[in-house]
Amino acid sequence: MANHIVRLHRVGKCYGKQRFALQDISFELKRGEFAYITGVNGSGKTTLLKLLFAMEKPSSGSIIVNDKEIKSIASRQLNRYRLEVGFVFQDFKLLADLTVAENIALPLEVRRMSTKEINHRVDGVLSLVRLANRGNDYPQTLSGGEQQRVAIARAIVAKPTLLLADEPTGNLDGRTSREIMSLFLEINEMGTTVLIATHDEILMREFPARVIELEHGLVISDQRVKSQGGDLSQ
Amino acid sequence: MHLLSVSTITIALVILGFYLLCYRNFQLMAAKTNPNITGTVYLADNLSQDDVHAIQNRLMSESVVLHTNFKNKDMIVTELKTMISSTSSLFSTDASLFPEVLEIELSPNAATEQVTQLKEIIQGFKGVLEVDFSEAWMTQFKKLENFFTIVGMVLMIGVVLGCSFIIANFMSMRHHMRQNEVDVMRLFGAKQSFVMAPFLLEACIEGLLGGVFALAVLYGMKVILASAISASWTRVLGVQQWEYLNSLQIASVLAFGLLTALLSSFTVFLRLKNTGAR
Repeated sequence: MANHIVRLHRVGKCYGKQRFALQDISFELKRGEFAYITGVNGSGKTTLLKLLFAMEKPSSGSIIVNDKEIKSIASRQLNRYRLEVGFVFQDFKLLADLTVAENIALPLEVRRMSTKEINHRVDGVLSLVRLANRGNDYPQTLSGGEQQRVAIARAIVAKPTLLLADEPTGNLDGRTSREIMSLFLEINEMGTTVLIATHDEILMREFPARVIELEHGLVISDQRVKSQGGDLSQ
Repeated sequence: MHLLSVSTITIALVILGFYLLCYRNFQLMAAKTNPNITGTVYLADNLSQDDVHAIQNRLMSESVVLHTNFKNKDMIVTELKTMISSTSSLFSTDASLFPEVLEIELSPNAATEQVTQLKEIIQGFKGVLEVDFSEAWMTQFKKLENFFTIVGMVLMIGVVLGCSFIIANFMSMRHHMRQNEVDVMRLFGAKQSFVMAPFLLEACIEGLLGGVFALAVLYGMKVILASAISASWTRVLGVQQWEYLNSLQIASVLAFGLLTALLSSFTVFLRLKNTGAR
């Protein structure tokens, strides 16, 4: 098993003829690493996560996740790939007609796991995100922070090796954001590689980790935030 | 939204079913009124039995003639007495008023031109006073039959296209409302079949419900028709009572509802944006 779970080499994404969302992006993520992708709106953070989640194909370069070249994954094999990669959306993308437990179970149900196994896993992640008693509630009855925790639970229920999160604290207040970040750290400590797209500098300082900064689709810095004081080092 | 889809299917199937209902009763009426072309050859008074036999033989030599039956004056009077028993005294003494006749039955496949040609030939026979065929009635009957067939086909095509279009739009609206659900399922790796299954199941239920409602409405229409067009009309048309759809027609209505709903659901599904699985 390679030491790097993610390897991007000269990745570019172009919409139309002239609109470059990403240009010449190269970086690697080690297994078990915790990292941020940051940058202003429109810098290419979300596009980069979409490429990693195989929602879109890169226009150029190569993306290797878990030793698999993403470009070569056929559409019918995507469900297997997404067993290994979890995604947390900024807008949660919870289904209002399903209960919390049913929402979390969705990635397992599409893979036609047994009910017993599904229940076992759902109970486990509900405890992890501290929503053990809310399984039968509907998402609209939960607070923003609780909904985000449900989204995180759904993203990790299939035990992915890589967890991607797109602005997971974008809609949350400071205290709830810290709770969510703590949860990501907890998941990371369990061995899952975590890559979070955010522009919240305060949180990045509070939970220091590697920061890959994008601007106009280019990587302009790749460094580690060392302390709450905001000192940066290469 | 479900109600709209089911209602649309029901309306479409009621239109189709009403046509089937009319067509079935028309067929029953046709069967009871004997669709074979018949004719009557009125004979002169002074013909011998040999002359009548000669005419019968010449008639039977024509390919479209199936059967001939001679009736003398007494037989005609007796028949009339039986038919109009209450006024039989009118014919009790004056049988000589009626000519002897040869009744002819033609092949049901005989074309109008053949019948007209035969009529002209018979009129040229010695001892024949007049020839009367039911070809005019048959022509009308066949026209009516053709009309029903064409109307049926137009209705069928119209119902399929119209119903599919309307249902497809209803389903499209509903699917767009559920685009998020489809996207999420696809994002978490759901295969096409997994995503499609609930939509197709929904369409099946809607199609069958629409079919069942339509059959119920049609039964009500049949009952109303039966009471409204009872007595005199049914006797004139030769139909004793209005029949409901037969089992094949009932199955067709249900199958048609199911198929229309499935087809439109499937079409809409293919049109859905595939935002999750690149």
